[in-house]
Amino acid sequence: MRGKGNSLKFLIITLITVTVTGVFAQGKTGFISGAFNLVPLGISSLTASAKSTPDSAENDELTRLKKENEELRAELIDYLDLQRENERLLKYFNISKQKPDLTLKPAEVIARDADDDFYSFTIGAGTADGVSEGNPVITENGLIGQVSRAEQYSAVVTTILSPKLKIGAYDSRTADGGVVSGTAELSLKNRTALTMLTEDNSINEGDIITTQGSGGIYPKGLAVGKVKSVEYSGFDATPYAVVEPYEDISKVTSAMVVTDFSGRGEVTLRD
Amino acid sequence: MTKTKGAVPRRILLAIELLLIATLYNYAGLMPETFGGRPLLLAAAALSVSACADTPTSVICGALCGALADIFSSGGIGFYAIALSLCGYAIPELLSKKLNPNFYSALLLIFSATVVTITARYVVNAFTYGFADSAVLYLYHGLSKIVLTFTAAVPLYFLNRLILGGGR
Repeated sequence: MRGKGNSLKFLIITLITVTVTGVFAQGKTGFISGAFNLVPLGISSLTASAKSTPDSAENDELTRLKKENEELRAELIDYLDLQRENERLLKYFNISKQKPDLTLKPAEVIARDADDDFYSFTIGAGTADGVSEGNPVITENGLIGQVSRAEQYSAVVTTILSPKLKIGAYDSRTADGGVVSGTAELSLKNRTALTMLTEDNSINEGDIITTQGSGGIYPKGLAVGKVKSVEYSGFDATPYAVVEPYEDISKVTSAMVVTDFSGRGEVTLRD
Repeated sequence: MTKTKGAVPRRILLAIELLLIATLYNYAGLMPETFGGRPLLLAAAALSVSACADTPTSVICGALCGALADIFSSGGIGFYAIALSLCGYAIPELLSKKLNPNFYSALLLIFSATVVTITARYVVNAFTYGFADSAVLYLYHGLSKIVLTFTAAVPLYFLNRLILGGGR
């Protein structure tokens, strides 16, 4: 009986500690997740230096072949790593050429939140690289999300599939404007929605949706995706366009953070 | 955990195990998505410890694993820290006082705690995303998360029994 009382007291003390820590540590826990993110960050850059020490075998020929095999394997790892790096830099170069006003920081996806159903992920670039909260995150195919939390060497990205993100966007053909925001049902098919459309919109299947850039958070003209269909909300019968991003967001392995662009922080009226 | 020989090394081993799980918790590509979900390894670790440790150890493990899961997910401490602390209290208490402490009852409690914790998470999510969206997410992601988390908890239960010296 006494043991049960002690256990209960222990639980109550733990719950109070957790709650108090939770309240006072709100927004100050970045160093903990940052520290744990250093390991995946290290693993992702370790492959090039992967090498093991040779065994001392009795047979000279066997030792020589083993050594040669090891060298070839190390070279292959180096080659594959370089090839991956080259592909990443080429995409980065192409975007820099197309949009010279964007300051980009390329980064690899080092972690994916197992508890987030909208595929948020962590990239291996942080405040030390000039990344800050609110920065848009893109790939060579278009916008994929926004930095929602920046730590020193890593940053958490909320994807455009999440309802938490609201992005001003418009149809590049008809200039019909709205707000891009995800829903649970659409996120299952790697799709998002262009909501708050007017009744008389003339959006059609296949139209390209791009960012408005009027809020100063996103640069103007970043591709968000392609319209799959125009549907009506079951709650209030307002029209919305189902938009399919150009990237499969659940499978993205590298991305680029837009750390600066012309017009950043400037609120403008849309043309 | 009974006061067995080598309690300190056992606790150190447990701490190393939890640290390793925490480090690899969200590592991209390690746990591919299966049927729309991925296992919550920290929850699986905390629940498996609860089934073979004494109440204080179990509550501390639950609070720590939960706090880490919360920090990795939202940057703050909240739902999982409280939920896994409560599970860390309830499982050993039920196992020692209400149920026959054997393998089957331990697994039954781990499974029940997994279902309750993940379901409660989606109920809490409903306040952010709305009940309709949360129900869709639960159906397509939550159910597979329950199965995968429980599946991950079973080998961890055996590992923790080994580490904590037999346990139940």
